[in-house]
Amino acid sequence: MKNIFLIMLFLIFISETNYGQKDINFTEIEKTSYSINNQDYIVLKIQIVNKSNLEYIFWLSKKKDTNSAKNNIKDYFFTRKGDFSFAEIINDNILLDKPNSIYFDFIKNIKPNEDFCFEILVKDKKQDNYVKKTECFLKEKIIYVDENEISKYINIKTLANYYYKSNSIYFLYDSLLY
Amino acid sequence: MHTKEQKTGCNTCDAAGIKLRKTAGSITTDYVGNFIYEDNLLKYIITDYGKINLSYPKNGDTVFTRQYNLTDHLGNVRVTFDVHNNNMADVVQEDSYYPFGMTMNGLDYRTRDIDKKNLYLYNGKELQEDFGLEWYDYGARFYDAQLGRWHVPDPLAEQAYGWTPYRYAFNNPIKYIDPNGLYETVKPTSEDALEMIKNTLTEEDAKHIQLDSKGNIDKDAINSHESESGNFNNLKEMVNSDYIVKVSTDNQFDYVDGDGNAGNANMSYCDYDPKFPTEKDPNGETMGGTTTGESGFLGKTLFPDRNGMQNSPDGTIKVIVNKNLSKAAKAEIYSHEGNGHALMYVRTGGDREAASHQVTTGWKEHNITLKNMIITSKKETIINMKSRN
Repeated sequence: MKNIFLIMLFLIFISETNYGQKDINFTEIEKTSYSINNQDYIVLKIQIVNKSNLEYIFWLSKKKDTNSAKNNIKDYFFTRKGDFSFAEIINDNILLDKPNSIYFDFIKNIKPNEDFCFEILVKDKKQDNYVKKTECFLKEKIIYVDENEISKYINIKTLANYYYKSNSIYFLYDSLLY
Repeated sequence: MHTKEQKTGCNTCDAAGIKLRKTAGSITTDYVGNFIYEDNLLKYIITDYGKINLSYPKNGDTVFTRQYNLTDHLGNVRVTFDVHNNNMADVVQEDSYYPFGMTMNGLDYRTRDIDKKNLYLYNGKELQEDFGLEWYDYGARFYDAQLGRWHVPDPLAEQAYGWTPYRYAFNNPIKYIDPNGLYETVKPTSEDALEMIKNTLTEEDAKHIQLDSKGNIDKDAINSHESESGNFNNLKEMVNSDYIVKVSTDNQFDYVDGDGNAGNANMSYCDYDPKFPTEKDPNGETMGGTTTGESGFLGKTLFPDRNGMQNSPDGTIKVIVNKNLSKAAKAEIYSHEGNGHALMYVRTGGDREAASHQVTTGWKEHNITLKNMIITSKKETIINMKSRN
């Protein structure tokens, strides 16, 4: 009986700490090198694929809580940055036409079996472990929550007005290091 | 009792302009609430969905026929139908309107059965067909949809001295309605909403907030009291304005989008979480925070124009505050929505941009006037709520 209880506790722990993890795959799909004016460049493409049957919403955050989707949602949507929280902006249907930090309002949906691509421009081939560092950055910063979970807090239909439109985004490698 | 004598007949009305009796030629119609009598015989009963027609066959029976209306966002009745015994709808009447309410004859349809005729049409008001005038009875005044004007001046014309007192709906009948021919007021839709509004005020000022017979905040009562309180004077300004401001507490709301499509949105609620201490705003320094630290979708103001993603569905300004909030937070969020967004919309004569947040880089508020209105009102509410404890 005690063992069964411990196994159940372990399973609950696993399901809490890995919410959504198994549903989203990170894959390095391509490395392209080229040179302009004797300057070497590499474009690294990392793809995330939604392998689940649910639509996922993801964003980038400096404060990722690996144990709780609720905490991540509260931190990203309900914590005020400047005069507003992201939730206030969404709920008031405020048009965002000024550039903001990617940690403020980047939000993207990814439907089942669809993918999204991060393209990172690495300026110098000699950069140490840039592939690993990039993957680490993305895994540390990306928060993805399924639509059922997020709809408890945010109206999905209204949120959709703020989705990043393209299926890929570009970063300079150096900017990831800050 | 006030009687409006007209060349064409005689209407007897009460002091509020509610019609009690109409005499046109040899026919006398009595209006007893929702029960309408013609020559002392009950003719029909007005219901929320249309009306119930009564007919009296020669065998002595009384036959009741339910009649249903389909209306648009302004309350204009577009289709009237009744239901056969086989549960099939039978269209009795179809009406189309020019913006100011004149019917488009070419697009109309009328059944031949004159007893089924529906005269409650533009804005749901009764068309007075007697003597061929075709005026609509709005209560306080009669409206001529063919001219797009009232035939008598606005009884509260001094509230909009820049406008002709004969105008209808500020010459913008797609954006506004004028439900009773008078200037309108603030309407709390529940006891909870009324208490929330009172909680923004001092206990002394709150004594002068009461409802009239229609459930609106009583103008005479609020106007009889003078106060230096910003929140009290904000409320007074809205009560005396030309807008209806409906105030409710709820966890969802209906809206129409910019294309006129209906929608519904839920309002989430989260208790205070000590992991997020910055959510607490003890002194009212922020626009969106609360002293209690509660978070979620706390409040919403819907404007009656159609220029936003979510707009009021019924031509009024709607203020909705999340019903799950504590009393203190409700009053603070009402200060934001009511004394910020709604008041600014009223004050600027319907300028949505001036009444909305404008976010600039770093998510700073660019609409400083609105920000100051909200924060000033919130601070006063916090003080008034503390004085009650």
